[in-house]
Amino acid sequence: MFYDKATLILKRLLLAIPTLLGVLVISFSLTRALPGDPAVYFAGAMADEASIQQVREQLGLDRTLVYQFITYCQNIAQGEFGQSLSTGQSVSSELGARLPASLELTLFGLFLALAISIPLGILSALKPNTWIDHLCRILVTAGASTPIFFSGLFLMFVFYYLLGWAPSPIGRLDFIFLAPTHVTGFYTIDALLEADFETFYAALSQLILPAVTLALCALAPIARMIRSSMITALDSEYVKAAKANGISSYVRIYVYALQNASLPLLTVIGLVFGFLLGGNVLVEKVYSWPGVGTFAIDALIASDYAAIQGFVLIMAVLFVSLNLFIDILYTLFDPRMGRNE
Amino acid sequence: MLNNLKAKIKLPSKVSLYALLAISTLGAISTNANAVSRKNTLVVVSGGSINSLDIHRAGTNRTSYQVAVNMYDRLVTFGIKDAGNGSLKYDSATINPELANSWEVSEDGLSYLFHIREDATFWDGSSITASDVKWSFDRAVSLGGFPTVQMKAGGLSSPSQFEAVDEHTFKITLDKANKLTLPDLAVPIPIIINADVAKTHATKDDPWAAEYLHRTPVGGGAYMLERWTPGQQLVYKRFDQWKSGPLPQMERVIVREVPSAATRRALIERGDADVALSLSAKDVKELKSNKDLSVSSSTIDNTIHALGMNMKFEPFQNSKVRQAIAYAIPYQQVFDVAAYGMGEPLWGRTTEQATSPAWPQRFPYNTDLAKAKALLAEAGYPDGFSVPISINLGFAEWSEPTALLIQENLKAIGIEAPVNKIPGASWRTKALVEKGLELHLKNFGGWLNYPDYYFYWAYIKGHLFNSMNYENATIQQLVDSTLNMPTEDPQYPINVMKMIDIATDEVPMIPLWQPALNVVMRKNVSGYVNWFHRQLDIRAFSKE
Repeated sequence: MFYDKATLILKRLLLAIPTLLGVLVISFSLTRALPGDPAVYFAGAMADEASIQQVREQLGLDRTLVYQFITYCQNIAQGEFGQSLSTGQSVSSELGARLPASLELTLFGLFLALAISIPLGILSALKPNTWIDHLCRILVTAGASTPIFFSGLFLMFVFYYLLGWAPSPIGRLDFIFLAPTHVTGFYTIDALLEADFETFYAALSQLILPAVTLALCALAPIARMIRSSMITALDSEYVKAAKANGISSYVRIYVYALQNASLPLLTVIGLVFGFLLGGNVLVEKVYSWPGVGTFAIDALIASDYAAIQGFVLIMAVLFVSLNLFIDILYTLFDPRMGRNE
Repeated sequence: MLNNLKAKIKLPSKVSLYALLAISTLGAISTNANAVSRKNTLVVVSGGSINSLDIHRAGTNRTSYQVAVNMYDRLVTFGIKDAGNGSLKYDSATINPELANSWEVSEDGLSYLFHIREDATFWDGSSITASDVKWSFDRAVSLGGFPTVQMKAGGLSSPSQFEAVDEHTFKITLDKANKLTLPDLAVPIPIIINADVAKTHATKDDPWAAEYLHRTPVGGGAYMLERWTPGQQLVYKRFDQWKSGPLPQMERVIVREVPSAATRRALIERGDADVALSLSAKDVKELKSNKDLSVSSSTIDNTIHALGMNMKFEPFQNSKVRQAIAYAIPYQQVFDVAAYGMGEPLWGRTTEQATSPAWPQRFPYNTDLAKAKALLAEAGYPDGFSVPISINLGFAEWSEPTALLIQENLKAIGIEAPVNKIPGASWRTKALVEKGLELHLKNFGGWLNYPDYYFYWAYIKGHLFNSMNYENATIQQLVDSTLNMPTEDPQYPINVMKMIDIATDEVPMIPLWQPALNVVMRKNVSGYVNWFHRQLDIRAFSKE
C-alpha cells in the first residue's frame, strides 16, 4: 500500500513538469500579445523616436520572438527573472519581498476563516435549522455577497477612522518600526525569532484588519462545504452502522464523519487559498499592503513583460505545488486512493 | 465607555513598550526608531511609487522626480511667489541662485559663466567643483531618452558645450541665443552629481554609472537618503551642511506609498499623516471645510485639459466641423462635474481676438447647440457622423465624466460618439506616437512656462504632443521665430497673440479647463509650493 501511494505521488510530480513548461510558453506569448509598446512607455514623457528605439534595443525588443523566448528560458534556467521596468527592481527581488507579504496575509486570513467556519459548519450540520444554523447561513450569505473592496473599506472606516482601534492602514509595519531581519519574510515570525515582541505586536496588529477582510470572504464557501458534506456523512450508512454498534457519538462525529467530510474541504481550501493569494489586490490597495497582487496588476497595466512573466511563473509553481500537496493529503486521508487503479 | 475600551486596547502596546525600554537599557536591543521626534519628522502619504533614485534613467517615473528635487542641487532654481489664495507657487519669471552664487551671460547670449559656491560640499564632505557639473551635464545629454530631450529644449545637446574653466567656474556655450537655456537649468534634470564617487562605479558597459546611481544617490542636496524600500517608502534625512539655501526645518521626511486615495484621506483626517498627495477632486473639495486641515490648490502652469480632433479623420479636416464641436461642449457642466470647480475655466472669452499673450487663456467659445448644428450643416454634415471619443484610463477620474458629458451634447447635434477607453500603458503609443485617435481627451503641460514652448510641442506637425496631426505653416513659422526671442522683445507678445488667434479660429484642440494641483496638509504644516514638476519640494516645509 505504501508503495502504491509513493508511485502515485511520483506520477503527480512528473505531471507538474509539462504544466510548468506550458505556463512558460503561454505567459511569454500572452504578454507579447498585450496592447501597448513597452519601449514607448518606458522611454518617458518627452522621448523622441531615437530614444524610443534606444530603449527598444536595450530591452531586446527589436529581436525576433523566438530569440527573445530562448534568451528568456536561458535566463530562467540561471534563476534570473529579469528587470521589472515599472518598479526599477529585479523581478526576483520584488517577488522575494512581496510574496512573503502576500503569503503571510493570506495564510493568516485563511487561518481565521478556518477557525470560524469549521466549528460553525460542523455545529450547523449537527443541529440543522436551529439558531446556530441560521447564524451560519447569515454569515455565509453576507460573506459571499459583500464585495471584498466594500468590506475592506467598511472595516477600515469603522475600526480605524471612527473608533481608532486599528493601527493606521499603511502596510506591514508602522513607520516607527524597522522591519525585522529577513529569515522567513513573515514579519510576525521573524520578529518572534529575534524575540522583538514590540515589532511582533505591531506587525500582528497591522495584519488583523486585512486578514479579517479576507476571512470574511473566504469563510462562506468553506462553511457551506463543511456543512453539506457533514450532513451527507452523518446520514451515511457507515455512521448508522457505527451507531448501531454502540460507538460513542463523539467518535462517530469527529472520527468517522469528519474524516470523510474533510476530503471535499481540502479541495475547497486549495481553491480558496489560490483565489485569496492572487486575487486580493483590492485588500492590498486599501491597506497599502506591498503584496504580489498589486505588483502584478501594475505590471500588467504598464506592459512590464519581465514582471508579468515572473509573476505568472511563480504563481504557477505555487499552484502546482499546492495541488500536489493537496493530492498527497488526499492519498493520506482517503484509504481508497492509490489502490487497485 | 468608548474611551475605556480604547484604553484597554492600547494596554498591550504600552506594556510591550515598557518591556522594550527595560530591555534596551540593558543594551540587548538597540533601535533608532524613535531617534528623531515626531515633531521634526514629516509624514507624507503618496499614491505613486518611486521606481528609481536616478532621474536620468530610462523608465524613471514622475513620482521619482522628487528625489532629483530634494537630494540634488541644480545651478539655479526658480523663485517662489504667492499664488493669490494664500498658497505658494513657483515663479517662472524669476531665476534664483542655487549651487551657483552668480552668473554672467555674454552680450550676444551665446555663453554663460556660472560661479559655483566655494563652500558647498557633497554629502561625503568633498567640495563641489566645476568638473562635477561638467560630468553631470555630459551625462544628461549623453544618456538619451528624456534627460537628453529636456536638455535639448534649452539648446544643450553636446558635451562640447560644457567647460570647467577652473575649480569653481563653469561655462556653457550655445550655438544660438535661447531664452529657455537658463530656465531649463532650473528643471529637475540638470542635477549635480558627485562625479568622483560615481566614476568609481562606472564600467565599460555602463560609463555613466546608471546601475549604481539607480539605487544610490550621490549628491550634495538638502536631503540625503536614509532608507528606500521600493514599493513601500522612502525616508529622507537632512544634510546639515547644505549651503545652497536656508537649512530646511524638517530633519526627517517619510514618504509612504498608500495606493488607495480613500486610505490616504482617512490617514490625513486622523492625523497619522502630515501631507496627503493626489486625493480625488471630490475629497479635496470636502476637506476644504475641515478645520484641522489646510488645502493648497492652485493651477498648474502651461497645462490644459483639452479635446483633440485628429486631422486624419476626414470630417475634422473642415474647420467648421471643429468649431461646431467647440460650440457643442457643455463647458460649465464639465468643469463642475469632472473638475469639481477647481482650476481655471478656458471658455467664454468675450473678445474675438486675443488681447494678451497670457497662456493658457480662455477661448471665445460657449455652449450653443443651435450654432453648432448650423455650422455642421454648413460644413456638409447636416446629419452628423459617428466618431469614437478616446480617453486614457489612467486619468479616468476626470476624463470619463468629461467624455460622457461631451458625448451627450454631441448626440444632440447628430454626432454619435461611443467612448473608447484605452489603458494608460497603450495611451502614449496610440495617442502620441501613432497619433491615430480621432477624438480624444488630452492633458499636455509644458515644464517651461512659455506659450511658444507649448505651441512648439502641441501645434507643430510631427511633434510628440500634437496628437491632432495639425499642420499650419504660419504657426510653424511663428514658433520658429519666437522660440528664441526674449520675452522683452516688443514683437514677442504680437507673435504669441497671432498664434493664439490662429489656434482659436482653426481650433484643432478645444481647451476645456486649466487643471489645479491640490495638496491636503494638517493645519500645523506649511511651506507647500506648487511646482511645475508637481512633486514635493520638502526643503521649504515646516511644522509647528
